[in-house]
Amino acid sequence: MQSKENQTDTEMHDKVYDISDKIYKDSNEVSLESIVPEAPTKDVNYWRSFRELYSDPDFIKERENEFSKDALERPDIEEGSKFSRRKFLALLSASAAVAASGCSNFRDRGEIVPYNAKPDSVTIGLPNYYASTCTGCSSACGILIKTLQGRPIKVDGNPDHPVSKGKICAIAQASVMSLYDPERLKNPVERTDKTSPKEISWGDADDAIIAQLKNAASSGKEIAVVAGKIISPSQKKLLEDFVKAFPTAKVYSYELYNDSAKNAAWEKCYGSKYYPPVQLDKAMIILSLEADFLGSDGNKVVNSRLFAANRDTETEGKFNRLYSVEGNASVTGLNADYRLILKTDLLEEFVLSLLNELLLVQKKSALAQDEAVLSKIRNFNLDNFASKNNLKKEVLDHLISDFGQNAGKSFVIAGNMLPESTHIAVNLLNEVIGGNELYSFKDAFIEHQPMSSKADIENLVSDMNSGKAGIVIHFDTNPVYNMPGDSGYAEALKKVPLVITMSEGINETCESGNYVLPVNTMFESWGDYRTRSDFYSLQQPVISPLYNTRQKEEILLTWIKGSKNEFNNEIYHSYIIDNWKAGVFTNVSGDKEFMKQWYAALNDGVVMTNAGTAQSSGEAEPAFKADAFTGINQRMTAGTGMTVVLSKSNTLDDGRFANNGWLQELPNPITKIVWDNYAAISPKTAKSLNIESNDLVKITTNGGTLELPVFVQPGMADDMTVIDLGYGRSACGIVGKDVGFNSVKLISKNSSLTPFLYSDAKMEKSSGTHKLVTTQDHYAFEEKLYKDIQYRREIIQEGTYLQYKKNPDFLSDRHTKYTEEEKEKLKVGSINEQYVHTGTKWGMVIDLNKCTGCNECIAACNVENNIPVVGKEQMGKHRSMHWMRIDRYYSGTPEVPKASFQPMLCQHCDFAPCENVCPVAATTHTPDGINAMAYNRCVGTRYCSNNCPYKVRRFNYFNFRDHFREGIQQEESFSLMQNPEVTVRSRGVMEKCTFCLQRIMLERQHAIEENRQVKGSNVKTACQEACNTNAIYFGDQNDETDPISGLNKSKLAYYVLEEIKVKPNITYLAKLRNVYETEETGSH
Amino acid sequence: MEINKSSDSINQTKKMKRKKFFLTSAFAAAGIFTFTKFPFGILKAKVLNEKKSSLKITENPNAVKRKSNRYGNA
Repeated sequence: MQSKENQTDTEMHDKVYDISDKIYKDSNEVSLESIVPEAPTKDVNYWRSFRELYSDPDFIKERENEFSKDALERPDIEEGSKFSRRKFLALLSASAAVAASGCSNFRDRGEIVPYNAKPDSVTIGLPNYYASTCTGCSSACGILIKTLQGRPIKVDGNPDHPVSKGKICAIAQASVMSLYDPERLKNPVERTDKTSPKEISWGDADDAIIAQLKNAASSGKEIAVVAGKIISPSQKKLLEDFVKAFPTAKVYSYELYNDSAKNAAWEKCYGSKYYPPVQLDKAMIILSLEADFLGSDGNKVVNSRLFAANRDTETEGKFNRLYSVEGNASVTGLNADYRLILKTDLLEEFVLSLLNELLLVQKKSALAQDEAVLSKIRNFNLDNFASKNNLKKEVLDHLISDFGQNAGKSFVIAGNMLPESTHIAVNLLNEVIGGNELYSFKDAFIEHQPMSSKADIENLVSDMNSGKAGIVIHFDTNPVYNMPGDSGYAEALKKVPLVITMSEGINETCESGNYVLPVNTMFESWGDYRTRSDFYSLQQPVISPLYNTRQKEEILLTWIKGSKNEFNNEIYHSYIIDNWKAGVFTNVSGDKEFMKQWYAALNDGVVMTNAGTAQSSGEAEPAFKADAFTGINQRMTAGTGMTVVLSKSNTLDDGRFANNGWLQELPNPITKIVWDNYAAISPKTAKSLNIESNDLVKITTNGGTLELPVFVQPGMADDMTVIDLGYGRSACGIVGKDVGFNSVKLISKNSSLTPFLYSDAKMEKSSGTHKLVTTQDHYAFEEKLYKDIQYRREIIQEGTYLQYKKNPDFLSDRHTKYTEEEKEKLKVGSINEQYVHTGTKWGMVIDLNKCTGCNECIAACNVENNIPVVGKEQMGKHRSMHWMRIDRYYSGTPEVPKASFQPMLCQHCDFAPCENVCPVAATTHTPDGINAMAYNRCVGTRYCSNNCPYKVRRFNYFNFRDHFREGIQQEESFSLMQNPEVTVRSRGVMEKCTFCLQRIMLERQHAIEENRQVKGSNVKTACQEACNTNAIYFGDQNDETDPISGLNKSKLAYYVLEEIKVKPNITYLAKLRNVYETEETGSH
Repeated sequence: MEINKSSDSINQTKKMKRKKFFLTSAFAAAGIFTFTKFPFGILKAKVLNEKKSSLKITENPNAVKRKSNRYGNA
């Protein structure tokens, strides 16, 4: 596609049809059907929700009104204060008089002082970057923390880190909000009788606790330390030292969501504890079995990058094919080329049927000679299984054929919620198809300490009940919330004489503690991490603790040393250095040389062990043991009742980020629901139970019962439901308390499959409803003449990979070809002259082949641009403030939908319709092609939003910082979080994407300093930087050397709503599905 | 005349007596004097203490910063 400025009207008509002229001139006579091309026979429409698909009258009305009724709701004056004007003025003058008297002796000492002695590390206006490690979850990704005048304001991936490679997830992006959370615990608290809290000093807490630890150790009472997954070698050593100092201490390692079943299966199959990373970038065929590896299963930052690396439309042989078999409608499933819907508890039978086909029928692999293996799969048959479960046989044929043609380049991934027996069968399947060649043993995952088993936890609870456990220390964990209800942990804790809880914020476990000790966030802590054998990752504090908190390791170290006087701010820093001298930089001689290496390591944030500076695990490649498969006694079989899958939340993890408003407000990538969890069910299940979205249902597993709302989700398997964990926190800050429903209640310690999968659950309709808020229907609007707007206007354009390879021009060939006469007739002029941008012209390209709809870009945009949290109520009124949204369109049927994801943000149109209607010229065009906003000019008419065809402008109906949750965003600490390079907007102002203008300005400043031209590729927008799959490109469209110039010319390039001729500057690359020719659907 | 008389009597009752006026003035003066001389420093000291305990931003001196956020700083 060539630059739009050089494109003649005739050329544009060759590519697009233009109906606007005819419609506006003669709208009563011309029918749409007579103008637009014939719709293809399949997938005639795209739809966003059932409300749209089934033409819900309310939805139609909303579309006609363009803006939501709620969004336009005026404040009720009657609901305002009853204070009379006279009384107000009287009190105002009286208080002014008092204030004037009171301030008569006022001398402002001032808070703003110049740097008389500027710290070396600070240059006003210029950011500093520190490499560190994110400890939001146990993946321990490398991060770069941006600070301005000492304040951390942004987190991005560390480009030098071998795992994250410059990318990071939404949780890490939003973590700065957790740092500045005004509801963090600020001082140690003593609760003598576990009820009345009293703030105490650290010294008093240390004295009292050390004495009791010594007593417990001498009297033989157990000291239980309940930690999360241990991923730090120094922390591991610290816990060992603690056990040495207090010999009755025992360390337990517990996480709500884990991959224990997968690891146990791996150990049985290969005799090694370390499940290796998989080289997904080398896989041409991927089969995902209820594994949301692009979403919440595993490290999605790595998985997404590796997956998208092999999704290149332009390089021959670099376009993988993803099959997904799942009961849920996951991000991975809806990005798959082929998706088969199957209840989760049938997956093991499916794997065994596949093995039967490959080993018994097709005799693939040497394992086809192993009679013991064959005897276990003889009773299964793929054809029978497919017909019984309504799976498309031709898709399975393609899968089998693909496995055969791509031996050694195919891989099967199973979801973490599946039981050990299924993982063992999947390991065997990978051996059969050569998937084992994609394991990367040289950089195996490291397990510092095994996770505590069910028996370990039961013993702990038993010790607590019997009085054997004298002290329980919660090492920044929240087991009262996230241990199964029937584990009896919370009840047993009440019987423990001394409970110490270390935590960043208030949680359920704090409420049962004698001492609640506030701990540092990852921004204030030292740490070393080793999740894989090939590198170490370092964490460094970029800011001194904001409150009177300590790092949890420092607390333990002080207790080990036995006196409160042993504490100092560098105690754990020195401890790590000593460990590294002894264990990592062992070949370095002398302190000076060590410190040189140490500072270099802190600069990099990562130390590669293969660089000869650290140990290497040197583990040999393990061989598969068929006994693991043949020895399975109990297999997963389909239950007769409702299947319940408990899924890891995309944003809240195990609930630890519940008080982070940015994460609560980030829409679920598929359902687009915010501020809630729910039971997702299929349309057929909803019909059979006579329920619809928002209705409350009661779900019962052998773990417990939970009442929560349902959401009817297209593409789900029947008779199953998926519920996110991490919601329904009862003790939390004001933001996250009582948001959603606590699905941990459904987990049983005695689950027959895994804690996250139940096959014999019950679901029954309950009374009442709970309104769920989904953002997907926001901004829908329709002119009556435009039926099927998404299809007709080609907002989504897609095809197949084969189609593209056969005819690269297939997209433009699809469009109607007009005669010269028709072209002339349809020619519509612009009311404005085309401005020719001779210098830089900024533009963006979004590759829909790589976009997985994960939402990381939205999180990054929120942090970079000071986007406020508005809350569920305002989101329900269509008043979201996100500058970006990911539109998710379905096509096909509700039972078997396909999905298309499309990031939508300000298109910075050359002929921006918003600019023409602004009465005060608050929104205007810059010479480098940006549709800019002058906030202090905006008077809030909202004409621009009304006129924006993409609906990407956001209006501040309130000062949302003041309006949300008692004005918590106005607290002093939150003001430190703001990016000073971006204006904080207030009530009555319109705002929208600026292409991260502040970053462009920084490049401009650098260009001036270096006496050179601005270089487009030097600017990275926040969304681009965050995109795990590198789907977003940004740069100078006028620079031929800029990558986006080439992408703009791609045959897959198109503009959304091009026919309305606003000339947008965001180019989309049409999505290609890698399906066989016979399966070509959805292309138009 | 009757009307005027009655009006005078009303005004008379509303009028403050000289003695009362001086008394009120004296109290008001004393009040203002006390108010202006009140040791607001006590309160001010409290406010300052609060300010002292409010957020203080310092970079960690042992942290090592990078030159830029680009690849290749390692």
